[in-house]
Amino acid sequence: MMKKTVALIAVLTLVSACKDSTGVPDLNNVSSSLLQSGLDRSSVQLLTTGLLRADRGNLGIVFPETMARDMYRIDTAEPRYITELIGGPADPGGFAAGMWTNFYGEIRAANNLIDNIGTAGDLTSAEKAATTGMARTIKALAYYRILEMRDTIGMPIDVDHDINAAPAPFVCKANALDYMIALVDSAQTDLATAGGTPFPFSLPSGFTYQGDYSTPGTFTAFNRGLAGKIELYRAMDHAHPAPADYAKAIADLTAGIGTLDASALENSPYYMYSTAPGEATNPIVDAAIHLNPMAADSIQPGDLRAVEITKRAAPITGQGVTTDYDYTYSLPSIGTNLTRPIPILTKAELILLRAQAEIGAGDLAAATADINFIRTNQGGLPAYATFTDATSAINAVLYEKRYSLLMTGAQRFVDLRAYGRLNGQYLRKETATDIFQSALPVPQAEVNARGGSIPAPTCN
Amino acid sequence: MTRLRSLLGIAALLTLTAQAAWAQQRRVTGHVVGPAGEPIASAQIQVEGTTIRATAIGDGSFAIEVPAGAQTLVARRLGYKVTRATVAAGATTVEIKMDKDVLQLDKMVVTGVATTVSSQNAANAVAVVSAQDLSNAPAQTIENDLQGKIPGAVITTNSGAPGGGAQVQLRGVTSINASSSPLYVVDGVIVSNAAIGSGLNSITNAGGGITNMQDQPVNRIADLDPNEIQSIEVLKGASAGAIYGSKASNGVIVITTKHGESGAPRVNFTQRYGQYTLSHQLHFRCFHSASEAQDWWTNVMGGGGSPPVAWQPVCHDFEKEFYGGNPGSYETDLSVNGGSANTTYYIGGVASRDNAIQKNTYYQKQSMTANIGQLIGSRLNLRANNQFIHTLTDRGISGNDNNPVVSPGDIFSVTPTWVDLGHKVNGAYPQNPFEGDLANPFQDAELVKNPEDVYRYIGSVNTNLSAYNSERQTLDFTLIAGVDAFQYNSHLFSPPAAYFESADGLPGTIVTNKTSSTYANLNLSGAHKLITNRFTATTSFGLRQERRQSDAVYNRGQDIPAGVTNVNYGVQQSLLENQFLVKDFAYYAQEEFLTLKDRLFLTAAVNAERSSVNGDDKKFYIYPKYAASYRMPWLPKYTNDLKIRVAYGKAGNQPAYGSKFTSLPIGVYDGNLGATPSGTAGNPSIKPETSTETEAGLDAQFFGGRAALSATYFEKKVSDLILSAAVAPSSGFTTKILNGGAMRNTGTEYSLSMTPIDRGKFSWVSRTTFANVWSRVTNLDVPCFTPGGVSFSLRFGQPYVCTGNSVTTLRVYNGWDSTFASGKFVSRTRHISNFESAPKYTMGFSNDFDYGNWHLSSLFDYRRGGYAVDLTGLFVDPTQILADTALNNARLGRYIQGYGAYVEPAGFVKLRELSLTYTLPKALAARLVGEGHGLRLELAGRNLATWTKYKGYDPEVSNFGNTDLGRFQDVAPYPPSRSVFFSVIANF
Repeated sequence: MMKKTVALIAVLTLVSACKDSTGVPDLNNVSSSLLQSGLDRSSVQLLTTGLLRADRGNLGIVFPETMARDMYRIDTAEPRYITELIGGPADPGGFAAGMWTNFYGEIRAANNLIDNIGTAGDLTSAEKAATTGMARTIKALAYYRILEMRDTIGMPIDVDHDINAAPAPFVCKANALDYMIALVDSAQTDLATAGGTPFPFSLPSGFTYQGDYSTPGTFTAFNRGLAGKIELYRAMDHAHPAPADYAKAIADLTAGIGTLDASALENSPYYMYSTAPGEATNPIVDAAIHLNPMAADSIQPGDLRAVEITKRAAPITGQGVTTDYDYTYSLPSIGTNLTRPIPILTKAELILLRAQAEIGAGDLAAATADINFIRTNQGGLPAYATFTDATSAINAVLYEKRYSLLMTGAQRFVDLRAYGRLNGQYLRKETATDIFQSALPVPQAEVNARGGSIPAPTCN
Repeated sequence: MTRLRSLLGIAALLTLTAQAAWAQQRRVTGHVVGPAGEPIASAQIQVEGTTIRATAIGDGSFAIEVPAGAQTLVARRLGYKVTRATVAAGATTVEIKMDKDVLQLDKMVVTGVATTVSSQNAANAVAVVSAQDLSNAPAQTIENDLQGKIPGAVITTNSGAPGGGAQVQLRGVTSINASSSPLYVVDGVIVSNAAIGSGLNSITNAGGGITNMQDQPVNRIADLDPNEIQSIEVLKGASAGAIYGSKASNGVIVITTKHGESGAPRVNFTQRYGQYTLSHQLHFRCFHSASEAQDWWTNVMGGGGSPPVAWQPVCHDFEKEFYGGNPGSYETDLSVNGGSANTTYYIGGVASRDNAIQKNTYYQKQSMTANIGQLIGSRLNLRANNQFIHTLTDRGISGNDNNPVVSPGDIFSVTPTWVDLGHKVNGAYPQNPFEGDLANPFQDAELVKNPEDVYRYIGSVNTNLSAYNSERQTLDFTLIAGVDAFQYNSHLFSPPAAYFESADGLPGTIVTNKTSSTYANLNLSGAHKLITNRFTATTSFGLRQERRQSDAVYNRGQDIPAGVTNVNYGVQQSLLENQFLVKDFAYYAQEEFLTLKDRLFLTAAVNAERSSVNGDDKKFYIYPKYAASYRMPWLPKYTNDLKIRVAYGKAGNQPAYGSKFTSLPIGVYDGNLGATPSGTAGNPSIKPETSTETEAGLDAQFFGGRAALSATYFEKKVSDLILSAAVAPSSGFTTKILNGGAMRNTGTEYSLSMTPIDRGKFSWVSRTTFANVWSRVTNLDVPCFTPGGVSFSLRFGQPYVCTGNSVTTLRVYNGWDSTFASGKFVSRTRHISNFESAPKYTMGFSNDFDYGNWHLSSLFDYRRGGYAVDLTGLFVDPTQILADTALNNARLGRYIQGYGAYVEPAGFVKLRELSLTYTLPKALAARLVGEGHGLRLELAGRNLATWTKYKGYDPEVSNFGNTDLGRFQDVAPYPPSRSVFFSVIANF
């Protein structure tokens, strides 16, 4: 009897134990099997927030703003913020090869959404179009930011492939810009298809923080602004100038700006920051960040934007650079700095971009008007008379851009390079080894994956 | 499941129909006695050529049914030589006299879940360490106990911190990115050897995150109490451990706990008192004058003005002050065992507290063991093994630190010895103005608590059913259901008053970690034995199911008010949860064939295993094994036994949990959750690493068992190595996981045991072991690489995996060539040198002397070759803080010139164990503890002396914990200690 009982217990135990399935899901993360099993409203929310969160995390300010001679990051433990960025050349194996990998991760996040949105059974086709319109716009922004830092080196574009596929080929700057404009235009088409349908997900509050960008219709203004920005730099591409694009840029920027409204200059989608658990705080709040004296000293007397500049009690020196100035919004001592939102593309920037396009198109009167609109409203400075030569207009627009967009991205770095001013003729040598680096190198890992060298891409 | 049901059905059927059909047998009674006529309990008696067996009880007596005619009885007992006695036809009594097996040449070696073979026939070089050999000198963990005792095992502690943290590497490093730990099996239960970080990284910021592999964690096999272990069997690789399938690639350590032996209750009581003392000092410099101090401050430290604390004519030996302040340690061990013919029990308990050398660090352990055996009827044998363990340890802060500086070694490296850090002023330890964050280790040792509290249960029920039993055949079924469950609680508490806490602007840190781990396994096996006059054939088969799961939850609160110990009150809160669940299922079958008068032993076995961690979780991977051994019938002079053996087997190493998933890690953005692709591309077709091992050797006994030699050659090939390989970042990933490499280890192992003297009162037993491993990476599907996260810089020394190199290669920049053109510097080319971090060979020398009632035992552990990266040197050199400033200058000078000055030879000789035991004369013992009882006094030391060229604290070091590559990085570790214990051991 006993034996039978034992055998019975054993069998029961084993049967119940063996009933378990053989597989175990990913217990620590959302698995990408989510993508294979088909999306729904909640997973679209998850992926969209993930994309926007990646986009927030990837905002790079320190590298381009150091290279644009607006700031220094002086850290005794990490001299490379100076030696690699305004010394150089940057080490492809080192950290200065950043602003690449994470952007491609963001592009993968966007592709996950774009490639799989068709499987979302509980979304209408208008909602699907709204989602792809958003995702393609953010994806275009990520591509554009890669090119901002690499310029004529080019970049891989056709990356939406399996992990085991051969790395995507590098394409030249002009072709990359073509691709981005087509992408941002297709996003516009998607947003138009969505029409009055709201986004099928809730957006971070940064989309209504200043101005409203939270519906496909209102988000289109951001999309057009981005299109105009990219078109402007395609028009100005040294190797393949496309002057016809100035008109296109003006048209798209105008669509992004709407009517000129002095109270709406800071309208933009914003990156939001918080000290709540799991959230991110403002990334440029950092005691090691200081302003380059060139940025601080060049501001014109009476400019209201001087509030961004704080004079230090004593100069700070490190790695061969010295400055007397801090960036006000980087100071940890100011409590609100940690949660201060950062704009992505303000109307002020769009107006100044339009001024640049107008200069390119030869319409100095329109350019002067746009420059003055920012100068008087944001700087509180007297208006310029209409410029009679492009160089003066360029000087003026670069000044306004510097202080209206200080420490928000790569705008000045891109402009200095596009106008041929990233050199010793216009800038002082910051360090003994300063080579006026105009682009970050391609990361070593990317080079290694391609057999150790990357041929210069040719345009087609 | 169908297979399982029919298997059990057969078992039940056989049980019901089996009839003992032995004709004409007679009952023989007898006694088993030792050389001096003392009774030997628990000897196994078997009628040769049959399955008939009996067990001698407490007084050595036994009764056995013997077939008609003259028969031979074989008696076996651990510690005694196998003895044969003839029972004449018609005789009904017999006395069997057994000789001591001093060298322990006759042991039963586990070959499967339910099968064993005599070591005389074993086809593998399996090392068995018995309780007696384990307990020469008290050790905190079983790894310490095994050091130097097993040829082919390199056992290295990670630091001197109390409570464990050691790595066992069997026959070299056999993996790159997969598990580095051998498989531990306790009484048939696979147990966890996880290393769980307490969240120390939240203070040290050595790496990223709340917790990090630089948390100086203990690997949890340390919980096992060495006192409760009967024997440890070490299967060094696939050729012996194939039956354990896809977890056996790094070897298997099979632990058997103590069991009762029938007889009157026998009590064993041990009381130990001891002390841990710092065993090696770096020796900090004394400053002899104000001008010397000023010179140091100005020219070495680059300080302005005068030093922040004026020079005093004193010299504080920080090492002695800080690592010398704890009271003694104790261990109380009590066990009782006994039983009747049908019931045996072993009940044991231990309570110990080791107060380690660094202030307020300790290791405390309480454990209880209750192992009960019950024979029900004549066929059903039940055994229940239960171990309850509680360990509590506080290991303090040590190891790498970044911001703030908190490691004592790091702080001492910038603090001149004229400063008094160790004495309170107005009730508080002074701030240390020589360290940027004002950190004072004495204050930290008092205020910062990092208790790690583990409650663990390891238990199993082993049901053995003798389904059929005849003179020639037996069929047994065994069901083992076991569980290893523990709860780990740590509560790191660093109050805002600790000076370093202000550095990050968030004064005060609390990190709690609650980890629960459960490993459960179920093992059903059958063994059929057929014994004929010509051969013995043992067929075993079975299945094994396992479930391993763990859930770690960390809570961190930073910026906490004074007086608060609840993580809830942190202004800044962080959370982390990490889980895994693995389900394995295996079938196995084994045939063992012993023939030619017990001379030829053949084994063939196969294990088919699937696991949920594999890409294809339904696929069974096949792990076969073949082995043969032959005892030579013609022996050279002075040779008593000569066996040649060869074994081949396959085993695996499972992918880490989650390797097959490409995850979408979650983060928060403005109150919504967002999922973004991970940078690591999982591999949905990932499979286990496969290790194929061939070993061949010979075992010989000489001079009537006075000497024994064992020699083994092995070749271990590992293919499908699991790698985390870099990919083009433009893919959106940084790494992908793949099976993409192969490596080979070859080596030899020798052990020589001798009894050079054995005459009356005086005997000397000597054992020498030697082992070496030669390793090569033979194939890589990815470019050569440095594994991530387990080293710092090529300037210091980094592991480097490349085809044609040893897998444990250490690479370092070593000087440069500069090019000049017309006197002007043009360019510089750095040289790179390869070193080897693994030892060239290891040796163990153990000697036991008996003289009358005195016993002296010693064990030396010798490691030749191998290099470590002594970054502690890089702390103390730039500040010229060592008494040996010449060393400071020489090393730093070479470093500045681009040489790998901190790669240092890490070979050593250590006196691991030395013990002297006095057994009180019987008469005296009788007067003290009663008639027939024994009393021993023992003075034993561990790690008493070290001889090494290494310049750091201890060449046994690993800042990154247990890791196959990247071991031997030395960053301000907890220094090593020696221990001396006085013990009273009573048996009654």
